[in-house]
Amino acid sequence: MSCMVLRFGLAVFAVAAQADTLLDRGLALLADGRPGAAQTTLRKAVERDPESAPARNALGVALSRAGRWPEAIGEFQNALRIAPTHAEAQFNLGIALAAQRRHAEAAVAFGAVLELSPEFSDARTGLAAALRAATASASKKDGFLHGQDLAVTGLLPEELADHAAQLLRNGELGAAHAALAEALRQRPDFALARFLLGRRFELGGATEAALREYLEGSRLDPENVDFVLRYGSVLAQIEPEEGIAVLTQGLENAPSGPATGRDDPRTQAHFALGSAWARLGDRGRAESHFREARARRAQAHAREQALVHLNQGIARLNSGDPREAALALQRSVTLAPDVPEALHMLGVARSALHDWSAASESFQAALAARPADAYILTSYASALYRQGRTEQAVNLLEKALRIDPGRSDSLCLLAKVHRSLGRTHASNREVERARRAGACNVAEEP
Amino acid sequence: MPIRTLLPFAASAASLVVAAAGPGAPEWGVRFADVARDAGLTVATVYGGRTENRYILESTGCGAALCDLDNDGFLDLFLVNGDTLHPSPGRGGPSRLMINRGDGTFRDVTQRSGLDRVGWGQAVCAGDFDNDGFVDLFVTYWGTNVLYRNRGGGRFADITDSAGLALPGMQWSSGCSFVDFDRDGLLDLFYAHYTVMDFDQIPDSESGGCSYKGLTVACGPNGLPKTGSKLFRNRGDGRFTDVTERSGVSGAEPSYGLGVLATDFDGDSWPDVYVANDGEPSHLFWNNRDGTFTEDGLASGVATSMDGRTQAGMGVAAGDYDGDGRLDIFKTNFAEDLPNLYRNRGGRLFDEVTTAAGLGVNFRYLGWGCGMFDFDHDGHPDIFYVNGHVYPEIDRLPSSLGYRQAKVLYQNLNGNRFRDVSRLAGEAVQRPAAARGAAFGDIDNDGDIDIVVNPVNAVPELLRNDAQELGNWLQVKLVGKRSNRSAIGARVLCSAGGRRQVREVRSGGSYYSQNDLRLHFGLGGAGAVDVLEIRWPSGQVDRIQGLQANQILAVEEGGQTGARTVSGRGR
Repeated sequence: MSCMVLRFGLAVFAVAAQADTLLDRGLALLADGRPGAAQTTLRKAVERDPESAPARNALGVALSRAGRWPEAIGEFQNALRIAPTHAEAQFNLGIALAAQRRHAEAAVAFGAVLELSPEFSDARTGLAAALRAATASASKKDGFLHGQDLAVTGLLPEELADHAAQLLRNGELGAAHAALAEALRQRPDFALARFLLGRRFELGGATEAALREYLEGSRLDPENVDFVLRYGSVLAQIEPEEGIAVLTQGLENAPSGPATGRDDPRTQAHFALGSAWARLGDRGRAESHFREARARRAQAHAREQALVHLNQGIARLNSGDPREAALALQRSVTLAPDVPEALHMLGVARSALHDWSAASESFQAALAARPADAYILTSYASALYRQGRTEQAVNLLEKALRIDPGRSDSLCLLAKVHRSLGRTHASNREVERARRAGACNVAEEP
Repeated sequence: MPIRTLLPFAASAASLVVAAAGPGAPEWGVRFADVARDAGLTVATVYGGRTENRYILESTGCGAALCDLDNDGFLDLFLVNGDTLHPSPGRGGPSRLMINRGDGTFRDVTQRSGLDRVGWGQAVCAGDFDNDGFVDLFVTYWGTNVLYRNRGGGRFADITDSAGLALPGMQWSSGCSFVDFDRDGLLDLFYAHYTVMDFDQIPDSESGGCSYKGLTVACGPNGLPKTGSKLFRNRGDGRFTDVTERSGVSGAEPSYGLGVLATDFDGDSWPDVYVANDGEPSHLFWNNRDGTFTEDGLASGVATSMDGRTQAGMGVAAGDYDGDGRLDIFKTNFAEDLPNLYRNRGGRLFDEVTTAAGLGVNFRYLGWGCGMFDFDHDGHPDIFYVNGHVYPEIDRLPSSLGYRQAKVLYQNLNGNRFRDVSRLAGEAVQRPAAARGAAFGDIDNDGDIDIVVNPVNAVPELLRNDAQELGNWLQVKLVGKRSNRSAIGARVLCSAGGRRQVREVRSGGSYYSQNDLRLHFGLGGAGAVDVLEIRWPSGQVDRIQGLQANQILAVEEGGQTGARTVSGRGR
């Protein structure tokens, strides 16, 4: 930071080519380090010519030097009202806003400088610092990010996009815009930045501009379902048929597996397409999409319900109530028959109820869904062992240990099985291995 | 040689802790002051845990009602109360009735009122179901709902059983509305259900494995049983008949219903019903005019976000924000999402215009109670909503939003776009609260709209509108004769200053709350109303011409008109 101060400090200079004017005299006083006298002189300059942007900018600098930031900001804004392309006033406004901790606004000001003068490197540095500071403030509010590095260096496009996303979430549209403009200046084909810029425009109510950016983002990354669905949905509000074409593309890109939750993009695509067709008056197509969407929602809901019952079953197992656990887990399995965790836990509950046969069925079903799970293999082996099917148990345990060689419960159980078969040497070997991996009491029941 | 004047960068390296207020925006004349304490509201609403909730039951909070329950011309206040699970249940006490003395203060008359039900209170809706001239109350619960018949004199009787409204088991009912869906002059009853709360079936936060941003939180509603809404028909003999099946209401997809709003969206004079669902497509029940409904929210464009996302709908309001004579819908949603503004384009179709209307700037709040009212009397309904997170545990994250959140106020600029004026409307608006219910109405009869906010585990807020330089206004209190006496469902068209505004008398709405049954019109500079047209639910149409502004006008169906002159603050 000190390096920056020095650089900018040297950047403050005035040229007294026309020392007879009030403005030049004021600038000379500023350069001499006499801000109070400069202020007086520059006020006279402004009084004489209220529409002089340089005079107002200079007065702003003098006021800043005196720590009168709010007044300085007013003068820089006055200068920009008179001369909207006055890059130096815009830059100074950014500095003054940052000094007032109005970092998001400062970022907007620095972004505007870069639009006026893309090679204004100090503005780029200022923008990076303001964005970091604005995001740090926002992050502090939200608690999602901590300990921002406030070193003043340039930001990469990915970092700028991250900042912009955070700023958008916090409603700082202007600062987000500045960050995204800079990201796109650095990398014009950065699809995420295009999409976020579209979002920024959309949040700000600029639908046409949003569509332009969404289109570009979708063109740059056509496989991105989020981009395409957003673009298609906004477009469908204005051009329904074109929007439907884009949404249909989004549906085709969406993963076709089972619906996993409320964020399932395929479900979303069906809902959006149904609404779009309904707006066009095609109830048949609309209903077809709504049916698909509802079916996927029902699928997701069944999985969500299954998860509730699974958690309830585990809680019951932990509280020593295997009977209630088995009931909850059976409900979970009925709702989502292919979830290995629920099948496994149902086997565990049934084992605790000494219903070895039913437990084995559950473990087999769990292994069908997840064959290489050492935990399930071990649980199943335990059930087989209790049924006297020791050789099968040994096979499963050896398989489990090939997957997870250090698994202590597998080793321990294998030791017990060996011992039950009179294989003392093998048993001792496994006990030793189990001891190295964790505690193992061979005398205990598995 | 060009003159170059640049500032050094040093000053900007100052502390980076606090973001300053936004850029200097044009001022707004409306200011709200929280006068709850001075008005006598000092008792905290109890609901769930203060620092953590183990079950979703502890998160939904309570509504509030602003309506004249003793017929003295001033709005009284009914504050629904809840309960606790930990450290022990039964700490909530009954909901409270506060009678407006007319001098800016309220008197707590709960104890002798007969409003003695305790438990997990949820929503309240009001309407004179027996047409005896006194507004009755229906309060939903996790447990058994209660119908309180207003006997007058601030006394109520619990007639739930005799009315046939006591259902077996522990129902979790949510938003409610009295609605004369068959237009027979008797108020029927519609209410939604959230989910089934069975402690034996739902794991608590510790065992449920549910998390939010890394925090262990109460589970649900995802994965919990979905349910449907209920409709009860008023037989006119003090009893209600369950017509949920017969009316087609049961045909809707089961869901997690919260806010309920009954109003005539398609302008056919038959009330429709909108239900904000949590995490599922919201429902819009279109009235088929034959005693049945068809749920068609998806095709109508009001069930999901514009891009097909299901959202966590909470509160719902209706108003004609764009002045086209059709009622639009505003709905609040979960955190890190926007609310929805659905523009009614006619033909039972809506467009989502949230961002296009300028409502895209507040992304972080978790919204609940909401209203579309003309706070600044310019003739365009503004939007106000209250916020608060569902998880008290969120405070463990270093978040300035946290469990308690600021309110949001949008000024309707021109019937087309809104401006966020939350920071211009007084400290009371910005002060964070774990808000849930919000009811809107003119508590001091000064012509403008005030707000009561019912938070969880805090004293309610009474936000008095202290605007000074407002435009003119008119309030209309309707009394039905052939129509239901509360005139719920009546539509009023107010023509003044070259513009025509539409309002409708509604029961329920916002989040779990009841707004003033009187209708409020901001008239801007118009000193008089050219024509006031009242379309009663009975079909009767009354027209009144040449009304002075700045008065509260009582209108009886097909007959008398009486003005209550008040010290209005219109110009």
